Amino acid sequence: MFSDSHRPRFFYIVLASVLLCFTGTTIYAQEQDFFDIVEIDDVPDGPSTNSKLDYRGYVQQKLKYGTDTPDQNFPFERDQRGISQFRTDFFAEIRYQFNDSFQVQISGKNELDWIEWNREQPRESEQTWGADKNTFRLKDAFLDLTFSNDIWLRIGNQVLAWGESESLAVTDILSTQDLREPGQAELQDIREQIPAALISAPVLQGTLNTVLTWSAGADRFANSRDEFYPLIALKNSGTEIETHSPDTKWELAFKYDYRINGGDLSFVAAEINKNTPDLVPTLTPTNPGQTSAFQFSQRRQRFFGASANRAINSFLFRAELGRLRDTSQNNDVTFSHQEDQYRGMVGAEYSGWNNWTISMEYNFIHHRSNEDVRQNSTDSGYIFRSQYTALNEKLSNQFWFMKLAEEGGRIARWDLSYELRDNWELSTTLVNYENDNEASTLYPFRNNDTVNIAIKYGF
Amino acid sequence: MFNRIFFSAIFLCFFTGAQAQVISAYDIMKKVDDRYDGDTRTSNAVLILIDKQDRQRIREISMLAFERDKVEKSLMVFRSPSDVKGTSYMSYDWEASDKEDDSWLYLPALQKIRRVAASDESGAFMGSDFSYADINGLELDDFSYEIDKESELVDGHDCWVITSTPKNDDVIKETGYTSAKAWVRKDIFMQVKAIINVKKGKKVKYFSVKDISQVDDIWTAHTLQMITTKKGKKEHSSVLKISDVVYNQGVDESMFDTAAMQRGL
Repeated sequence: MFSDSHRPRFFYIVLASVLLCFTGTTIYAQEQDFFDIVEIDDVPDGPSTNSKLDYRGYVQQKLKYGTDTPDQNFPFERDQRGISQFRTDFFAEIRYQFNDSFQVQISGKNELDWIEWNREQPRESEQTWGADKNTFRLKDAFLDLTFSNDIWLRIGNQVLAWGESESLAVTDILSTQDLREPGQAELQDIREQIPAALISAPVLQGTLNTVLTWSAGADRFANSRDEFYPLIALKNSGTEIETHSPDTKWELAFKYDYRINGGDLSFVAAEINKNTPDLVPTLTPTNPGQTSAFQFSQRRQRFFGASANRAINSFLFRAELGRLRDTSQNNDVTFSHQEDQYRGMVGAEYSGWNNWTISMEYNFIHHRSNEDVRQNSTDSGYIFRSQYTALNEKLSNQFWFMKLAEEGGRIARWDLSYELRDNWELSTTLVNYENDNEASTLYPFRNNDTVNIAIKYGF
Repeated sequence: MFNRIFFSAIFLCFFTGAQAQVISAYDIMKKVDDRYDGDTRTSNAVLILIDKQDRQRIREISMLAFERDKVEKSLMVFRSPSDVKGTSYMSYDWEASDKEDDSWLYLPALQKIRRVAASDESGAFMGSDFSYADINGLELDDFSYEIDKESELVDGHDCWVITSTPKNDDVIKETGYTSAKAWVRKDIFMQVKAIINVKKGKKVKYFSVKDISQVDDIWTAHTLQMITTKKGKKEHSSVLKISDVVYNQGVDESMFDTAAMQRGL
């Protein structure tokens, strides 16, 4: 009917018309679909805010695999690559609100270890399985009282997380820390509770927090069978290790918080016991029958310092500075020398890219001897952190690189977690230790690199 | 900041006014932006995130807002899932343009309050399809407006169709949006649906409002949904269901304090 010369033109016109119509219909139909009600399964009506009882918790199964053999110059229990930890964690927190001004909270964590390495030299290590090591730790137990004039009282075992630094305690002077696995602990597990009474009251344009503690204790370190026993060099040497409790049990701290547009400012003054015990000189045994002993005790210190932050666009700048004055000479225990410390940090965080946050921090400790200026020294550290989330926050990716000012050595850590379902999370962590300074407290652990895998169910 | 999210830019609740005279696109959007939405508000919300395979994740939130003088204070407390339960987010949204918003985050696991820098407005809010720009509300004067259609029916209601275009690249960078087309109901000045073109990934987002009713004489949307598409295919969708909305009662300014965040609601 149509000549060959006409057919293509007609054909293309018809085809174009059909396609246009079809395309238009398609787009329209799709847009309609995208505006239609999204089908969802039955969902709760919304959070219940009337219940007086509230709780949260999780069960987590962790597996740690040591990718290297620990330094065999030290008496580690493990002498080969292998699973170094298989642990079940259970955490629960319960809060009960009697009324708007009175509530109580208690939480605790239980760790059940299923694997243990044993080594009786010169034999090789033996790995044994069995649920025979159980550790329960109270996380907090306190009551809250709020008064009509905005005065707030919290009494009991509580975590007091102060300061801006991510890796060095500057104004964060009260709560002790769990240092059993440097660089591996989850952030929520680092700070330990202490028995304290906190009273918070509005003063002038800010808030004054006054804290009184009693027998707050010291930082928590790994025990002699663990992978990061800090006195590993003395293990099996017959040396007795003693810890001397501080003579003065109480600690008192004041923190005044002041807010301005775009920033926060805090001033802290305190009299405390240093959370990390120091070595106290003891007599070396003169007779062959005598055993040598090491004694540790906490220094008594007075602290004054300040912390500040300032947000500018997508940047958050942070800084802290404090002075610790050693007042230990007033106590029974005599340290080899009296030492004051200046501690500080500066840091910045940037969150201006989609789902990505990076932060950097530099920190230092300046040791100042009151007897001999030649003993003055400065240790510095840094931390770099990059966090990225993807897949609508199902996937979280975090990389850390840090040098610890106090312990020395460098740690690289990579965390990857994936939310399987609302209450299920799968995560992996790679930790690499580097250390070439034999004087560093972390030097013996430079081969304790690990791959950690965990699955967590929250409720 | 979050205040505006739920109760301003997205809720777009308005008192009905006589509209006999001709009104410009800018004036329409200004009325949307200026609306009264209560001096205080409380509500609960369920945010449902749905992926390509129709798998759902649920986040439950309690929200409080307080408006006084030249600042809007808001507090959001996350009730579920368990890994964020008890986390709270507080912000002060200052009316003065030379004042930046103040924001703090309380993490119960760390028992610590942290100041938060103003995030990239184009970033996803809690992993949802709503961006921080959607939640915080867009600055009215950052866009130029044009009426596309004087009249189009949406669910039986007469609407203006208005196209908004960012005035400069900074706005595109901040919001992530290159243009948007919005349907605004003429009777209540509420934006009931929108098509938003996103710069990153050349994605298109479809926003719509369902379940609109009056609460204490204020028009309030109870279901908001946002669907993200790429090349005409759905990638992810989010539904925000809001309940228990109460205006002008039960909220005290002392609730918007970092110590109150620590104590919990």
